[in-house]
Amino acid sequence: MINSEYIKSMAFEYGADLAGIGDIDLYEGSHPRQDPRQICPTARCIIGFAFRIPKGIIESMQNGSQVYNYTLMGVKANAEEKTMIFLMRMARIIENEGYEACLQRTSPNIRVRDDHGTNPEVSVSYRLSKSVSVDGKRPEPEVLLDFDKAGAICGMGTLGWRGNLLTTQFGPMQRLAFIVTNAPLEPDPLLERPICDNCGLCSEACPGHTISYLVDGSRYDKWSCSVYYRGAHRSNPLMHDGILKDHPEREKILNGDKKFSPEEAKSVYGELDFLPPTQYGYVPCLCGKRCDTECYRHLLEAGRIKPMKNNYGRVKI
Amino acid sequence: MLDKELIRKVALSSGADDVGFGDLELFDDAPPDMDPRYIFPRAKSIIGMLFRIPRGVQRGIEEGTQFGQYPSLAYGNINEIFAPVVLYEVGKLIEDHGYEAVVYRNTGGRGPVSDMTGEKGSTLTPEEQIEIDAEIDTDKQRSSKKTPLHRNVKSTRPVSPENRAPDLQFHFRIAGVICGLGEIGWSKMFLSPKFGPMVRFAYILTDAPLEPDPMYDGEPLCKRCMACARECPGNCISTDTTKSNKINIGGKLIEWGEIDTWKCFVYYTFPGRKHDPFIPTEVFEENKDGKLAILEKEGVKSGEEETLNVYRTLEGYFPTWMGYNMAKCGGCIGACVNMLEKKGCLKDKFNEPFRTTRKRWEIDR
Repeated sequence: MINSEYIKSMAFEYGADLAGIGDIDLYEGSHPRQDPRQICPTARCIIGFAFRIPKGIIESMQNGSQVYNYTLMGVKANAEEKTMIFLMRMARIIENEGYEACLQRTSPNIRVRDDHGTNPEVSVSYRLSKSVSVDGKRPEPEVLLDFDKAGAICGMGTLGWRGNLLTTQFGPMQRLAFIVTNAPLEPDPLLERPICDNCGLCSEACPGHTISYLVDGSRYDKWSCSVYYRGAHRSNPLMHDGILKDHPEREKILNGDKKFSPEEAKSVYGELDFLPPTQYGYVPCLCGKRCDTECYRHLLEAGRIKPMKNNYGRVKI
Repeated sequence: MLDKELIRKVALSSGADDVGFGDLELFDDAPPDMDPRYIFPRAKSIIGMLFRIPRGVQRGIEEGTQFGQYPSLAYGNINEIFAPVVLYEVGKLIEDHGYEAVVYRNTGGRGPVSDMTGEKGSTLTPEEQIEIDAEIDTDKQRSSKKTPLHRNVKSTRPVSPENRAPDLQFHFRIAGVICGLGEIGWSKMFLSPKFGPMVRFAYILTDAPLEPDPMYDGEPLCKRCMACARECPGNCISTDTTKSNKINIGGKLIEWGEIDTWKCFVYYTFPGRKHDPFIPTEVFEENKDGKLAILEKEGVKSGEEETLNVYRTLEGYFPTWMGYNMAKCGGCIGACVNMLEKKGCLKDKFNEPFRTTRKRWEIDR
């Protein structure tokens, strides 16, 4: 008989750094295209897992000595290898007990039809704008969970200024995976206190000024982020005179002052060819992920997050 | 001391869901280009490892709401990541005991013989993304280029007279039968007594002498209910029992129905107006230059050209990930799981049935 404690203990044994269980009823009123009950109508809960980005990777980005390792290890190895193996192992535990494990990995290259942004991490991203409902009642596929929101529902953290999940131990520095299941597991409570204190350091740190202080309107300009993430700024140690040399707004771009429309962003990707994309098309992060590294540093200093020495101590195996 | 129980224990604890040991002499009647003994002539045993596809990964297709997790987790992940990790662990165990372990994952259609036509030379394979340059969707950022699974085996040739042309591929499902892991159903899908058709494989050829397991001799799992044929959106599986394929392996008769493999390729990825929610109706209505003929008209002969016509026309409506085509049809496999559960054929039971409605969804257009 599985229960919440056992699921979490196995999650830690298999390599998760955080695990939480969310009450499926908290999705009441959510958009059907982001509602896990549309994937698994018998779902009773959603289980969330976080996988930390090692501090050494963050530090090597901060000191400017290693820029590729974050993409290779923090993004690609985490999302495409570690979490994939992990999810399959967790599925065995749940399905061996007769419950269904609807595994939810990231879908980096696709976006729901309402999402007019992009995913700065990948070379190609599609918006599924033309799909139709299979019966006129169910939402048009692809139903995709909002991973940040799901992490909060699972009690692992709260949303930060730009809408990303900040967890109690790692702030913004983790990748996420989920399992929607009809196993009856006791949910964790939501965190009451926000982890983000609206310090604004993420906004100040971004070399492309893609995170706005403005309370109204969009706080995070993903299309501009996708350009600066690829290194279109002076602080990129790989920048040279040949990059964007004929672009009429080169100075503005390199100063981080250009706001990119989707078409403008797509038109410059080809020139920002500093390092090869990894397998599966993750583009190298050449902004230093300063929004997250500064956030992480601040949250640690302010005592708003506290990494534990090891998670095995949290739950008895 | 290396023995079957130790191998089984390590394989299961590393992530395999079932393990079986096969007699290599049962490949005596296999075509030489599909005989694993050419890969490792000193091999004494073949070890089969079976990996389940979690039923929950099929759930989104069954509900018609989420299609991307299945090819990524069940195909890409098991073939590229999960099974290789297990192969590596078991291979190390065997080699630590002084034997050799040729670890063999599912390599896709890399063989010199087409798994579509049975002929030599390059061709397509249904699970894998075709190298193509489609520009359809509104927000596509950049055209796709060569796929990770790109191949060209036109010129392959044996390196010596006693050898076969690389890369030799053996038949994974028949090897599964030889290793005692289950049987082959009417749809040609492999059926495991525990997981039905929701499985994938990996193998090890070794010179370690290991006693073969008996082939599956329990109650036939496939009851010839023909649900697979009825629910195939392309009617790719024949129900004509007089035209089946039969082979004999060590006295065990294996039989499956006639399958239009090219048409299956098309419908697997682009299952037509009633089963493909990613393609807007007007695209089917327009049927530009007649490229969707095999989806829209009766009696169109299937083949590589018709397959590419559909692929080139529709590829941009749903991108692939990890180089594996999106399995959107869910027809035979969903039907089979449903029927095996209803007929009580599966050892592992779920608390709730796979299908709760009488009929699977169908788009009204």
